[in-house]
Amino acid sequence: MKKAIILLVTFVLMLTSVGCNKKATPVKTTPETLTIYTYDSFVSYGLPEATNSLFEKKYNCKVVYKTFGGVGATLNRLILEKKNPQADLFVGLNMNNLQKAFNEDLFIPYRPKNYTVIPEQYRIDKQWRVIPFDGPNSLAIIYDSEQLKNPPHSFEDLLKPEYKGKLILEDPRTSSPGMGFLLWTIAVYGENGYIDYWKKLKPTIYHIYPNWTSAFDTAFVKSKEAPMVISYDADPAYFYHENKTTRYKAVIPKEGGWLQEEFVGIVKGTKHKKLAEEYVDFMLSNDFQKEIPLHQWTFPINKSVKLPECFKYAVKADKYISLPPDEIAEKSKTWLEKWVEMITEE
Amino acid sequence: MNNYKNNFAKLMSERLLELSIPVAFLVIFFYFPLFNITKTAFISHSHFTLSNFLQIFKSAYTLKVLSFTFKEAFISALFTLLIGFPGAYIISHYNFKGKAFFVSLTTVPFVLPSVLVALGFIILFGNNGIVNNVLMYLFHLSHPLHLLYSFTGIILVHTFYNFPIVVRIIGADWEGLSDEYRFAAESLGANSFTVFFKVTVPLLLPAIIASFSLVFIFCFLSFVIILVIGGARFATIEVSIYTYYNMFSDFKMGSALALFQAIFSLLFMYLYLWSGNMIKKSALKRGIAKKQNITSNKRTLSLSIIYFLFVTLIIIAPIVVIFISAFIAPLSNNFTLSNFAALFSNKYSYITGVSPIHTILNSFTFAGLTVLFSTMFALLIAYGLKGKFIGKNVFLTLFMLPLAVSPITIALSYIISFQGTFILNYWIVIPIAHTLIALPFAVRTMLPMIETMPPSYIFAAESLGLSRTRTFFTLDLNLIRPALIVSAIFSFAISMGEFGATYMLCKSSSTTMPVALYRFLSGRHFGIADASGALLAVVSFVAFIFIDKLRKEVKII
Repeated sequence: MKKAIILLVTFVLMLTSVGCNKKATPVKTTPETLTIYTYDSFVSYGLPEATNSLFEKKYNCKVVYKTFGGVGATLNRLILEKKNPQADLFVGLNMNNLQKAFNEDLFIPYRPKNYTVIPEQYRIDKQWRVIPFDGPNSLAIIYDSEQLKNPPHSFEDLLKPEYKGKLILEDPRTSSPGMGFLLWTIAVYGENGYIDYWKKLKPTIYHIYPNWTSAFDTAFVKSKEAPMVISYDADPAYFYHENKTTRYKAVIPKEGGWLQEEFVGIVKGTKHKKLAEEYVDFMLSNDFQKEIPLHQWTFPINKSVKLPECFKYAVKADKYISLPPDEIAEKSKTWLEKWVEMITEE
Repeated sequence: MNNYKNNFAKLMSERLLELSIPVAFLVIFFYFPLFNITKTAFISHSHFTLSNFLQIFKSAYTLKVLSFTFKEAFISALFTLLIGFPGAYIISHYNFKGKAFFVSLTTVPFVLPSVLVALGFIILFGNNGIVNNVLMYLFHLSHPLHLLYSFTGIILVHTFYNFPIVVRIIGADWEGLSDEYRFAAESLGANSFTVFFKVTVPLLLPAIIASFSLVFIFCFLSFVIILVIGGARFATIEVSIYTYYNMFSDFKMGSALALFQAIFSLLFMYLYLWSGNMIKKSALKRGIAKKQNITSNKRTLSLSIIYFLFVTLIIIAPIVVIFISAFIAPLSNNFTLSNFAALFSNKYSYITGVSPIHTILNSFTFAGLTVLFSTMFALLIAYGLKGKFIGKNVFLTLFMLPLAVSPITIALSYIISFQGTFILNYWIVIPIAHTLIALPFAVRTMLPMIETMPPSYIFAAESLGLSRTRTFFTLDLNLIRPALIVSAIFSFAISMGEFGATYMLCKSSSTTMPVALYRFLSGRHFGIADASGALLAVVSFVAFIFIDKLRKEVKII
């Protein structure tokens, strides 16, 4: 028995001591550190990794990206730290949560020196509190061309009996693309018509998954549960680049693409305002923008950047539709509640 | 008489001393932060308000969700109990080759991230899954059966997750049950049926209740599984909490719901403990029942084999599927080792902050500390609460509450409460949060054993001149060893698998394995994500075997 306790204690102590040693290493102090909050996949897609050193060398500083989960969780962190800001920049705000950030008054307005690279129609915030760095993109219907020969071309097409049980969706309560798709149907059918549309769409839905990963990776790609899924317009480029396959194709319904842009903002209370401004300029420069397609799988906002070969498989919307950010902030809760009510009734 | 009074006073002060450390821990790291976050639910424009709460009751949806959550949790717990009970019997009564292996393997689901579990189940039981393809081939069906995406599917996956709780908690108690009771009943002419229901079940009741209530709470808080399997049709309160916090940054409604959820599970927990008190707890005779070889009885053997086949299909096959997918290249479906190679290189360090392999070390460190903290605190609590006194159940419920508060609420409450302090910037915050989640588990496992520890042994030891401390280390710990091991296993498993709170609290240097896995997934690195899932399963499995080994050299007292 004693042996057992001794074993357990040594085991635990061993682990602990290892853990402590590791943490004891001193942090190297560098001249200036720029702290940037962002959502998890922005880091794991590798864009910061590909561009940081360039900026660090030029300005003799250190760029540190921090993430605390999805864009919602990270934005929460920023809001909760408002009185005691730890970040200099926030990267990755999108149309769905723009107004919420404005209401919280989180950012210092800044018009980049090279702001003209942003096409005029995509300068969403006239006060420059946030600056777009990629887009326009859209959600899209991604389909498996081996299982589905005739893809739908519009929201109305999706209601046809031939697509019964063939569409995989994400849940708007827990997933950004899921929320995006719901808002998209509201942009197309209006707040009085979307519920009727969804009622008719129900038979087409194979299953609604809680996040993009389980819908896209598990159900669509790995298990091939159904031949269509809601994902992003540049996904075919991704498939071609990773696996040289053109099997998975994308369609954007002819009613119009769901406008998506991503934004960066300088956090109020930053102690490195000058450097933060330089970073925003850097994000719009060719050096940063040219890395966007193959890392972020989105279109760069700076249109002078040459797109890589595989992007010829990405689809581009003919036109874009959207909802005013303030309306999204004000009404999305009610819209979601109505949707839940509709979807749960048997 | 005076002497008695003195003794009583001494006993009470001892109790207070024992309880003071865990109470302080809970106040600082649970009740204070919880108060900070929930008070936002009561304040609107710097005035006190109940409107956020009334909102909950006005919503037909919330009430519907609540009733579904109760139903789902109750049926899941009941079913898990039914499936796990024979397993508890087998492991406590029979010896067979590979038993430790089997028990450790069935504990692996407990640490697996739900995204991976969903993967295992969809590939197995989905409409295009292996089981459906086999059935369609064998019976020439034209349509696949809807096995997975249903209420039954939810129960199935919950059983998969919680199966080890029942097997281990009841198994440990059963093992420590002396055979004498059974012999006595049999010698009085009772048949095995009567013995089971009149003797064995009542004796095991504390353990049955303990495992049922833990499974219930886990299913009550279930989140990803309900959504993956139920689609948008079903939801628990946890889903709404997540939506309010992370989609709308609405801390008022999120906290109101979190408090609402906690109060309900608290109420249930209290009722449960109260009904548990109805059972008369006599001093049990503890011992180790003699184990038989499983092959000695043909009927037992064949029943066991059927049982194992069933368990294999539901519990073990999904793990195997996850494992296999780690060896398959994403998108192309070819066999590959590159997923693992990537895991052992530094190519993806920019995602994990440290090298991917380092995340194993982090996970082990946090899990080790969690075991240490939760076991220590649980022992103190169990001794402090031992016996009968007024308000005991209230105390116990207050110690159990952390289990009923979602990790996301805990993490947010830390961010609000410890902002600017060293706690939030220091890795220790992770084992602290894990201990909080594991502690109710440890208490619930140890308390029944400590309560039924026969005082006569301790009196005997003390009358032989052993100090109380000495008695504790030589006698008490030995008597409750099965419970200690179960509590260590689950504290370890909870820490290894915890994701929600860790994701929001961890710095890049303290990335754990599940966090790394989610980060890989978020960046479409599916192959390395699967490989890290398989690795998480393997290292946890090895750790379980190691902890289980501590059980071996038990001497019968």
